[in-house]
Amino acid sequence: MSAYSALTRATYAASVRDKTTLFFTFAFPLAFLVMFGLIFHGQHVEGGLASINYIAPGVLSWGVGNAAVFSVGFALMQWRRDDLLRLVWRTPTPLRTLLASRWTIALAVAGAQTLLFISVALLPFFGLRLDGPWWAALPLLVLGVTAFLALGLVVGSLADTPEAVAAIANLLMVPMAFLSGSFFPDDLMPGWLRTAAKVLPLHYLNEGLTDAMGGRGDLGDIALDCAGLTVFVLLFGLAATRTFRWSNRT
Amino acid sequence: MAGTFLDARPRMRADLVPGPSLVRGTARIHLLKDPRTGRRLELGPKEHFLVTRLDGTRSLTEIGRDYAGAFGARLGEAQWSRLLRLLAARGLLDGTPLPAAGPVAAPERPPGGILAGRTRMVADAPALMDRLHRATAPARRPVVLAALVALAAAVLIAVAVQAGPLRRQTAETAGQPVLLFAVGCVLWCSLALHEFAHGLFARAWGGRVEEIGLRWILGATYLYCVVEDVQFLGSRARKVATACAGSFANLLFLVPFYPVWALLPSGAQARAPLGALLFLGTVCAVANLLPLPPLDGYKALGHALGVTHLSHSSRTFTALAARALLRRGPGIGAYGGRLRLVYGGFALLTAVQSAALLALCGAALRVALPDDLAVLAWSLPPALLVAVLLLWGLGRLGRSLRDHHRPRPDPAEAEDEPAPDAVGRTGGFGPRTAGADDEQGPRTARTRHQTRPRTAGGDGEAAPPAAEARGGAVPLAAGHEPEPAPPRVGRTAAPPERPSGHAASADAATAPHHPWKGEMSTPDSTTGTRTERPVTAPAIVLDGVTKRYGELIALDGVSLDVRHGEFFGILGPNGAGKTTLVEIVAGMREADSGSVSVFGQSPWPRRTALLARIGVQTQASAFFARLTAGEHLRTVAALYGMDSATARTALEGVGLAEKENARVDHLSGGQRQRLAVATALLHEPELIFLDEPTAALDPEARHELWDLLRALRARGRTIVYTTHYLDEAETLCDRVAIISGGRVAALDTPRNLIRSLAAPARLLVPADRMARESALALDGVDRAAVEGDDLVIETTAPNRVLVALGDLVDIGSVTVRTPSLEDAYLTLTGTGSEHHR
Repeated sequence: MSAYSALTRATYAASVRDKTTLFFTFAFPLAFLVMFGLIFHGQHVEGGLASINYIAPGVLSWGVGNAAVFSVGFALMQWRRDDLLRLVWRTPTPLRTLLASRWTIALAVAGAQTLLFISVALLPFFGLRLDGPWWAALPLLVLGVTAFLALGLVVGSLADTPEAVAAIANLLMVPMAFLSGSFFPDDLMPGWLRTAAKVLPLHYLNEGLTDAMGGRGDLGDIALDCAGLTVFVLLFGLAATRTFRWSNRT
Repeated sequence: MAGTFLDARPRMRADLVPGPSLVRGTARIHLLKDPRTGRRLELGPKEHFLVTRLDGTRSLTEIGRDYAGAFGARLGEAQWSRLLRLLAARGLLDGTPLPAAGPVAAPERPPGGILAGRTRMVADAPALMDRLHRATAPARRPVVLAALVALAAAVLIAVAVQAGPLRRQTAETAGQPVLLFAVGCVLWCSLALHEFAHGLFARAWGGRVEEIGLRWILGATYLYCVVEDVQFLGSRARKVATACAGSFANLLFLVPFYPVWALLPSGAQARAPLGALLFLGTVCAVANLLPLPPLDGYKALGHALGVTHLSHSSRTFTALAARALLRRGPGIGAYGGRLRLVYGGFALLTAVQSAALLALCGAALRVALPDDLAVLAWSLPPALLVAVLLLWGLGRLGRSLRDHHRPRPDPAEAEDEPAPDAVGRTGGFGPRTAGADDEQGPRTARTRHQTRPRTAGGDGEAAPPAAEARGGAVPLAAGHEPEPAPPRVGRTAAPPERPSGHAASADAATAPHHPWKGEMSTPDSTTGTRTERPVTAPAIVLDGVTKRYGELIALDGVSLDVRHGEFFGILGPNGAGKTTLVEIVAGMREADSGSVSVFGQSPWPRRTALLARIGVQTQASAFFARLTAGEHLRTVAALYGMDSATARTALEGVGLAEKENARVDHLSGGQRQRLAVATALLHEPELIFLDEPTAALDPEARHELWDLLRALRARGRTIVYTTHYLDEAETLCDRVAIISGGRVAALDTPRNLIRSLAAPARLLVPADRMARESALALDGVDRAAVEGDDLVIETTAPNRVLVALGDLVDIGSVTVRTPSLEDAYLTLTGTGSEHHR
């Protein structure tokens, strides 16, 4: 068994056995999806598409981003606290193998989330129809997961306790979810707020997913969102490398 | 004998040709050619210093003095004889015969296939070049040469001025395949001339043309011309000129065509292909001067800067700089200001050129492709580039994964070049280290390049390794006389198990003396004569290690060493610096000052080969969350590239086999401790650090762990061990260091520490049996005090006092407490003064 597959397996086992995280990864966003789907059932956004075309991608983007940030943030903090990072450091396995296994699992989680949420939204009752270039969601999800994973690394490096991870991550993710239009169509937001939201990574993921799955935009728009996410991947990646610590003890 | 040897005045052969001094990576190298064998040698600065002074007029003693002055290191007789033997073996010393191996074997040629291969076109290339050299003698007259240069420049300028119409005509020709083919054929001939020009220039300055041939790759064919010894042509200007000669010939070739083109009437059919020829020919000539490997311009730049392997060095430098930016790696401190400029500048130049080339490709595609594919034109070249990079990256990733998966070779042989060779450090010439800073050590570079034929008409710089095979540059001594690997005594020389506590102190006496700082050794253990344990280099040597965290001094000049196979205890109050000490020795932390050596190597920065020989247990909870004990150990085993069976063995070793499927977070404190120990021992390390492994263990578990540790010690493992339990240290440890306030307060065997205290024994008599005054009246009693129910009598002569007591009280009611390590500890750490009333 290679180090990569062993770590991936370990991460997988740890993820599956963590019922709380499973709930917040899958059930919680699903509840949001169902709730919003019921409230806005059958409605259309003024001059836009059916509500579900905004709700489903919005909840998906938030769910994916949240899961990536929290899982990695907690894991990194925990690993450093338990000195597990330095255990890995002492082995010939490089850090990138550890990160690669994390990334693989994060991608798999995002894939599972997408399947679940979109399947539910596709039910006749909710009435989502994938009219747009839905396959373009794939690169968006990969980039989005990578960006939020990197953000999670930063959070996990800054925080030394689970409480701090939760506080920092929530502080980042909750306002971001609202400003990026994950919970309501951002077409309804005032113009200046939409402009301000352009500095948020979730904005690009949400926009891109809405364009791709809701069929709002074309490939050019999606490419632009991909580019935006790429910038955040690089930005957070750099921040993660600069904040990374092997140990809590200075 | 020694005197006569060092008085000798050996001399290098007079016909050796000194070459230029070049920079490769961060190292300066000096070339030296042996004209008899055609072999080229690379010398580091130190070897060069010595070799240039071996001229028969100076004695070795004199040279050694100069050397000491220049490099601050003395040369011993051993180093001298090593160097001289080496030089003699290569036939470089005056009067020594040619090496028996004779001429170097011909290089391995890649099998010539249909897709790619090459063939020699000229039977005797040097002879042909000689004839050409004579034939072109008139052209080498300065006047003629100046005229030719002027003509070439004129063509260049004329084509530049007429670029617009010429470009249009090229596009026109591109639409006519037959004409285009004709132009291509003419250009092909021009490229052949290009190669000859390199050869002729080199020949004129004494270079040697080795081979002229034809090479084909995927249907494209071209002539090539291999020139030896471009580096030995003399001045940098000559080398640059040789590199640029090809383009010069290309331009000269075009000279006759220009007037024809210019004089033809505008409607003439031949005008378009001639224009295309002029345009494409000039573009080829100029493009060849771009400083991009493997083009001529790159070689010219390297010659002009006096740097070899510019591209590789620049890549290494850029990678280092990028990693330094991310606060990783050793940084670029080894590079001087000029080298930073050269390598950084070249990297920048390459990036700019690559971007420009991409843009150019895009523009060309835009012109070539129909309008509805315009998007493709701009996206295709970058996309292709990204795809290629991605494939390359995946390949590398795959390889690294595969390498990790593969069972690792014995760590000592694996990557540890015998630690910075002693000779190299003290004397200055061991295996040449000049290329050691190259990313891919010199050896791998060589084998990798060997299969690649030299493309250069200009010189062999692109692929020096091929040059080696055919008698080119050989790093002096590299790979021929490898340093012997350091003896691995840890496992092979298992010391006998210690039968009793007394033997331990005897052991200590036979070990090599080390000037301890703060040692409290008493001389009474020098009677021991056991010598079974081989006296070897210590496993750990610390010298003056200091570590501060801000204001707090965690370690203050700690010096100690731990011998192979020793059970070494570190005691001290909380915050005394024990953990910091362990972390520094285990390579997890860098000391502020002082030196640390583990198995002869510095543990900092991270060395995986060394880490593979070290097992560390720092915390009882360093487990993968939510896994079972078995899963955790299997994961760790995979991190070390070991299989699951290892994990199972380790689990059984600590008696946790039945807990294999229990989650790590459900284990009891003692089980967690044992799992942590199993994690540290998993990869069978020779040196084991255990940080309070018996904390939180019940007495039974403690004794089980002791048995495990004793068994490890019996197998020759070196164990460094911190603990709060002094009885444990007294029972287990061969020697104990007591750390207090970041200093070594004491270091000795437990017995000696106790003895050195000369602490009084304490006799406890029930207080109702005897009055304090009558106790004090006894001869030999130092102090007496009532503590609770007991009268405590302190004495340094317990036997005498006991006898006296026997007359006064029932001797059966007297309890004797002899001093323990605890007393020594409390005294030394200054925490126990109240206990000694």
